Amino acid sequence: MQADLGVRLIHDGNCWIACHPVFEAQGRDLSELDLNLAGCLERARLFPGRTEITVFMAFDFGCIPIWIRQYAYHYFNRHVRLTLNPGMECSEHVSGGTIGRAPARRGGAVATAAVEGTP
Amino acid sequence: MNLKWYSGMARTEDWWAVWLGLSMFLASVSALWGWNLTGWMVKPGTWVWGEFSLNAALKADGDPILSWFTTYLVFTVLTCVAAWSMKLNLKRFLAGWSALFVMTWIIWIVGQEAHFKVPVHEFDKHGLNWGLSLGGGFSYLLALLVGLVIGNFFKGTAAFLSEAAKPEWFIKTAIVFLGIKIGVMSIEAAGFIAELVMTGVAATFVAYMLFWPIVYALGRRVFHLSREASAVLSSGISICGVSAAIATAGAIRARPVIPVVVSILVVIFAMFELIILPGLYTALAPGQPIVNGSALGLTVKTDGADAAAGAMLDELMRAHALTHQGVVWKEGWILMASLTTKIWIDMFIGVWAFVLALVWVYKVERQPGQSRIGPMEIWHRFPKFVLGYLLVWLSYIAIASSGAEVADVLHKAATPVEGPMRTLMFMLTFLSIGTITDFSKLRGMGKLALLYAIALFGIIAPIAYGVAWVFHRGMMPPVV
Repeated sequence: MQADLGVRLIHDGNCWIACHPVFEAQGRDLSELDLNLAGCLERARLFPGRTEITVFMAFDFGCIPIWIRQYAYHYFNRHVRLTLNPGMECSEHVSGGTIGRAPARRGGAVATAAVEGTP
Repeated sequence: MNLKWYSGMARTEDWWAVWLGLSMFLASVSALWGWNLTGWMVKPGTWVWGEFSLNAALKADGDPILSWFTTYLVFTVLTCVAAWSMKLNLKRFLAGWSALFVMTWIIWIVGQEAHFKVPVHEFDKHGLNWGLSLGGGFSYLLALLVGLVIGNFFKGTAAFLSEAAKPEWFIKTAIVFLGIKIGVMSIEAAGFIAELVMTGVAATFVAYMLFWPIVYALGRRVFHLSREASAVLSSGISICGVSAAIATAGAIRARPVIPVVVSILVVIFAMFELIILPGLYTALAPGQPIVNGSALGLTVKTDGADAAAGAMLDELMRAHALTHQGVVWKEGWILMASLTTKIWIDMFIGVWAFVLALVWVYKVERQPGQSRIGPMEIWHRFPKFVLGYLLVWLSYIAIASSGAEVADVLHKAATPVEGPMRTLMFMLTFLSIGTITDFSKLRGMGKLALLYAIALFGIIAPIAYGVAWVFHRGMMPPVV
């Protein structure tokens, strides 16, 4: 499955974090992460005019202690389909830093998680 | 990160078990062109206390010391290339590996002392008037004991060895080597191997269907664990230990801390299983070797502990049969019963996690807009060393079936691989599995540890034995 955007997925012990060279989004669970990521993308205006994008999240196994790698070396990858609000007025440009814990459905962003495996 | 289907081929222990196993198998095959690339392997010999000599303790085609150094060099180069490729700390790996290698050989040689090893009917040959008749099992026990002492009382040494103490890598490499042995067995007794494989599949299926729901229900209803913790723990206990816990946690998108905690429990409890079950089964059911082997495969978690337990059971049961019944069972068949069952369990974990992911995403935590789960997750979770094992097994049969002379040449060249090289990997597994086991980690895991103990010894072990009995009763290894 083709993705419009690829991000690295990690967990810091409290939150899931989607890492991208120009932004980070986080959430206490994956649903919240998806909502925050959608809001983040709207603000970053990375996909102007698009109402729906697919994000590929590849879990970074570096979050798992290295002694476990000899037993298993894959956690999960996911494709998430995010619905963006094209009419949203963007008040900020994001060029770095962390954007997380955004209020649910902020700016009308609706995240519909289409959880799929790796391509 | 696993981004492509070939991700991990150069940087994981699972794949490197395949590459090391195939390298040695190809070295054996090269004998068909007149090369001798496996003859350097040294092996330990039986010696008697008070009459020790290097020539007796080390058996080789040429000079035993030179062969030992060649063995060290070949394995060190191969494992260091792998360690470099896996981005391990090469200096720490080389130091740890060298220490493990030397300790392994010392223990292995000590374990070959006649009073520990030889069967009753060979006492006269070695001039003995007493002996434990434990066969090769004593070397395994000693390696495990030394490893446990290091892991629990010399933690600085354990930390020094930790970069190289990788029991799962060693045992997966040994299992690829074992592909040669099952190839030989398939030619000798195709019917038995076919029956073993088919009953192994059936037993695995039954076990999956029974273990997981029972342990999950116990975790939820009696111990009031969360759905995520119950599911991960159920897979860890019921299926194949750490790899199942990781696969299940990934499938249900659990926080990574959950499978990590469960993995610690799995590794520690696997040690109890390894210490208790081979001796227990030998004592309780000495006349059911294949049932015992299969029951181990269904009960003991992690490939390393299962193969180690299977190897110990093989040694103990054959020694017991020889001492008490005067019967000499062929070596490796009980181990093979244990491994065959375990490998089926391993192979299905990807499918099981895939099904679990479907159930979890679409039923348990259903959200609007969800569609489907990608089958590539099955591939990423498939144990790759099994591919090496199957490839070596089938290649051996194909080559050996092409003519009697070819079969003879190949068998001679492959014997050092499936014999002493494989046993060396088992010895390294026993030593390193003890080294990485720290029982003090059980502190603070009260409820989870209690659930694990109840589930393992109260549910899994008895049902596994019953299932193994149903499918394997009456099956016996060939007699020499």
